[in-house]
Amino acid sequence: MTSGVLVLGGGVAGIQAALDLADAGIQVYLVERSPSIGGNMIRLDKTFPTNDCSSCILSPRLVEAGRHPRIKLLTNSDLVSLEGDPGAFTALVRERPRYIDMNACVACGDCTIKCPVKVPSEFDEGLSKRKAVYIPFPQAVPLKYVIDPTVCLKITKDKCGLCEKACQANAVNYDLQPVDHKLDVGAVVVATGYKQIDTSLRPEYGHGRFKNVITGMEMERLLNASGPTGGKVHRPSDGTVPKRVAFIHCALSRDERRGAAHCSRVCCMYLVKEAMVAKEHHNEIEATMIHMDLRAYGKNYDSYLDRAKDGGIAFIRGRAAEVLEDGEGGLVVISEDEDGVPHRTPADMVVLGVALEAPDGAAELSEILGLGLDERGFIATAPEDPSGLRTVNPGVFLAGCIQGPKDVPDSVTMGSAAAAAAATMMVASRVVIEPDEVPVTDPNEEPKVGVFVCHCGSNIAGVVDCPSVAETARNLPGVTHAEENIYTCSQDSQVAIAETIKREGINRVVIAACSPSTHEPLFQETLRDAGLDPALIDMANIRNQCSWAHAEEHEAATEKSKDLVRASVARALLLEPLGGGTEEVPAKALVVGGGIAGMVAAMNLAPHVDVVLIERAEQLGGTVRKLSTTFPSGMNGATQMDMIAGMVEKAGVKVLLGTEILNIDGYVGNFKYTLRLPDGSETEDTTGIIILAIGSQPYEPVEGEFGRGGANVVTNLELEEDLVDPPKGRSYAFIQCVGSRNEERGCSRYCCQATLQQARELAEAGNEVTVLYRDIRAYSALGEAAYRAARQAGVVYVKYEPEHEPEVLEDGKKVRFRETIVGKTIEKSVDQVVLVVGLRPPEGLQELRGQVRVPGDQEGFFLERHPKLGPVETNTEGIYLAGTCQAPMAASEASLGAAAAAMKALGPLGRGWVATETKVSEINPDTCIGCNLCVTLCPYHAIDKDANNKAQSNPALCEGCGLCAASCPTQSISVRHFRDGQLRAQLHALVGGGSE
Amino acid sequence: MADSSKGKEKKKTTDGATGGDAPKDWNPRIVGFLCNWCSYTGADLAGVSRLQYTPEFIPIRVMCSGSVDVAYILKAFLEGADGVLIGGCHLGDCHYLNGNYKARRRVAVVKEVMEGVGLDPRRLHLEWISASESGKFAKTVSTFDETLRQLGPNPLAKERLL
Repeated sequence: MTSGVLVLGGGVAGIQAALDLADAGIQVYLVERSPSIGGNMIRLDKTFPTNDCSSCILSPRLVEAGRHPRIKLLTNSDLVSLEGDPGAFTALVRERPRYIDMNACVACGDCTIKCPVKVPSEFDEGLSKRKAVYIPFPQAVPLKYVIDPTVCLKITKDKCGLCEKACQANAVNYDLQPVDHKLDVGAVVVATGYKQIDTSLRPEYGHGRFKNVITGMEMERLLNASGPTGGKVHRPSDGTVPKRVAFIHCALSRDERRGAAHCSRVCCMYLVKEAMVAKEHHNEIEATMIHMDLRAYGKNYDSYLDRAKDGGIAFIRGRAAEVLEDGEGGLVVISEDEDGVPHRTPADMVVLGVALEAPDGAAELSEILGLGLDERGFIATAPEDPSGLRTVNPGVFLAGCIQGPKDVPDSVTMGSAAAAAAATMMVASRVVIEPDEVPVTDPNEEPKVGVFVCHCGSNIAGVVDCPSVAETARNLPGVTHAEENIYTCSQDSQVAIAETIKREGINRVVIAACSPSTHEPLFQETLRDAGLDPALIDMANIRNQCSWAHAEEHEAATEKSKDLVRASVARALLLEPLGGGTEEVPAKALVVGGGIAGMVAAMNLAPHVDVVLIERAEQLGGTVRKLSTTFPSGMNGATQMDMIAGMVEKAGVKVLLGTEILNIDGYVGNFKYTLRLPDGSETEDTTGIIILAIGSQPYEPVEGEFGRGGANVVTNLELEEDLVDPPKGRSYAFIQCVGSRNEERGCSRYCCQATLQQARELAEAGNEVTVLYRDIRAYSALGEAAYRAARQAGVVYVKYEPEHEPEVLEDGKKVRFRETIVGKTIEKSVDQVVLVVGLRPPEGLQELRGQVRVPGDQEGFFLERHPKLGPVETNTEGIYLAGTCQAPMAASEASLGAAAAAMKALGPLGRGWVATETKVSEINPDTCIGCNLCVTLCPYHAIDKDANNKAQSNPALCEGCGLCAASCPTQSISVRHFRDGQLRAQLHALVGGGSE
Repeated sequence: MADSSKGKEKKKTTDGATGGDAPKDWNPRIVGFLCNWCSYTGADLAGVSRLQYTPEFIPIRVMCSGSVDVAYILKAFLEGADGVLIGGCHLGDCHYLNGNYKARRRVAVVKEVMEGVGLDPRRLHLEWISASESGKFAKTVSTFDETLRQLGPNPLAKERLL
């Protein structure tokens, strides 16, 4: 067995790590405790701040992980032991029996229909029932049934056995035993996630006592269209839609006495999201947030909050103390605001934003791995690594919530970053991945269509008259063979079909079965095995969109099946072989910007490929170099940057200081760039990929803004110089959110926690410190503890509202602010006012954007590929983002993002090629009138004009969406595999009643 | 609701056909252009959830709602479809960034053309259906089916203008 990386946990972080490693040519063993990968994210309804459907964006990743040739998926499995040293571990993984033969099961569901046992569904948080033989959710990967041995009547009492009889594929086997897997692994990524804390620790919140007090996760399932109520918010007690819903923030979070002392980081946002989505589903719902600091620290999170406020969601500040019954079937939430004033919020239903803690088994796992736990109960990180990635074992890395609560983009970033760290230990084990050979089929051969009609057990054949569908197919023009299969997708059918194709000389294949979305890739493999170009297939979806949807209308479903087969045959006759295309990617990377992000990115790539790092300044280290101490490590910024710069040099990165980038052109594998060197000369070079790490710039308050210009007014960055040797006996006032959280900009994320550090240092040195703040967003692993420490050191925190901004008087000798607790305006004499400033896009970003074809976001930073699942990628293949040029963030987060960007880049770099889309647009220059419409419409800038003013499409950039073809006024554009004629033939067969 | 003809819903049938003209066993034939990434998957999930709708609905998988050419819509009507449904990703969720915005604009134009040639614009319906909205998919088809029953058979199909 080849050496690989062991990834523990199949949630979004683990899947990300596994896919990234496997894409770079490294073998992965992905071990998941439950029967399916997907983790907690797959159970969420929508994701903030875009309200993307969670399962829609994650499911394709599950499928990819399940199918990847270099990912060995071990579900229903646990790590038993890990022996050996980093680089050469031996892991023992035990796979519990599913009692279903995974090779035989085709997931038709006949077993589950017959199963008499009903138990609460874990996936639906117990709000619905599942059977003893079940799939956890419809998009489960692997899509194989599993028997729950704790409730199965056959296994527990040797009664029943109905599923075995129902299964026509003979997949049920009650005698299966655990299987041990001994794996050679070089590195381990731990991504086992989190769980919600036990709500009975605070019985006063009423969860478990009052039916209508539910958790955030229960609410996710209620909101979900495929959840237990079909997306209707029905309160558990009586199934009615609650009019008043109260959302309790920090339920057992930031709760030192009985819950978790840490901030759970995601609850502020997801509760607001749930309120918004609930209101979308039922306009009559009145939602009230009972919250402490609103920690909307991520990209576009603040504007999401604003939308919620504008949308009529009420916000009451304070800590919820108790939930009571009102005696009339309703509830009342008792809370207390900062002024000590109690509030009573009546509600028909209460949703708790329950604290997140380490998952079950974290202690045992940390023991097996020899890592220990931190004071919060999560797996401990190496003390010298502020990003939380590394552990005391140099071969074991953490990703996602097992290191502490995290939202999806941070988990994804950390998954990629952990993959990067693991990959540096696997340089020798990386395999060369050759592009798949595509069998060549002569496009001019006379089409011979083979039709395979699937019964899917009784799933299709129970409704549709399959023999008559096959008979119809047999008589269609061009069809030379038609047959029926019990399960077309089963292993033995695949082999038989490949043989039939070869024997009968079939060169177009129609599969009448389930959905192409799930099964076309499988059948394409069969075509390859039979020596056919895999594009020469069409699927007629006679199950998902026919027999299942018209279960009572046998005759009509049979007629529809025939129509669908007719259309598929008509289309198949016109299909062309597409072959396969690749673009070479040389093992060269360019990193633009030598701050912490650029350095970490370069360092992570250097063991694998040649890296050039360019920096405009004369020194590496960027903004962090200017910091006296960095949060949370407490290390001096310059010392830290010198250390990393040393590692960059040692890794063999070619560093060009005092160098500016003048131009970038080209595409992945073939980028050309121009540099201006320190002596003023210009030089050109090429590279395979580019990582942009050009950082950000601090906001410069305008003259007079909060007293700016006054002798005693500095920014937090200017204050750093004083902190090298802190003064004593002075009085400081910090004003937070200067240039952030206003109409144009959201939270700058780094500042609250950076200020905690500064304020505490000053207080500990014997100064008087007041911090005027809006919300303290101390969300990180050590943030809440640092906040407590700063308060204990004597820092005074005073909240201000944006309507009553503090005023700076007398050149910064005095501040005037409204004290909310006593409700009075106070004037305070100070020695220094510190303006805590936000971050802005850096100079030159705008110009680069055009050259690399990456759009900007609302605030002018680079726009990432996807806010949740693609935070370090862009829509331009081969261009990646690291650090604050994507969004404001802390230095430790920038280093994680940089490692993640390096890992994403290692995909194409490690392979040495990228597959190009074969279903691309083609333009006929003879009929093109050069009107420019397609050039402006193409979302990928794949079309430009040639010397004759004719449009030309670049297949390396085209994604095949077909927008150009649909818009061309002279029909000069067509997309391969979706050509006009193919579609017209389908239409004619479906509506016109025959093949064209 | 994605359909831009909302304001016209109350209008009488503009293409002369009425549900009363329909033969007894007539059921509206609906062609559905469903985008690969959202609506087609939503329709698959409707099947998984065993949600029932008219068997006269026939799906055609396209990569993007923005790739549905005006000619395809018109061809569907000329071939005899009583209604055409276009299903795309929600605005902002398009797999190809903004194809669905283009689809929306195109549908608005086709509706005007339809009115011009005497075809009731309600016969064309655009809906955003995500990959998880199986219920919305089934409901959209059923509601559309009801609308078409009121409108009656496609008059172009009757005259076979092709």
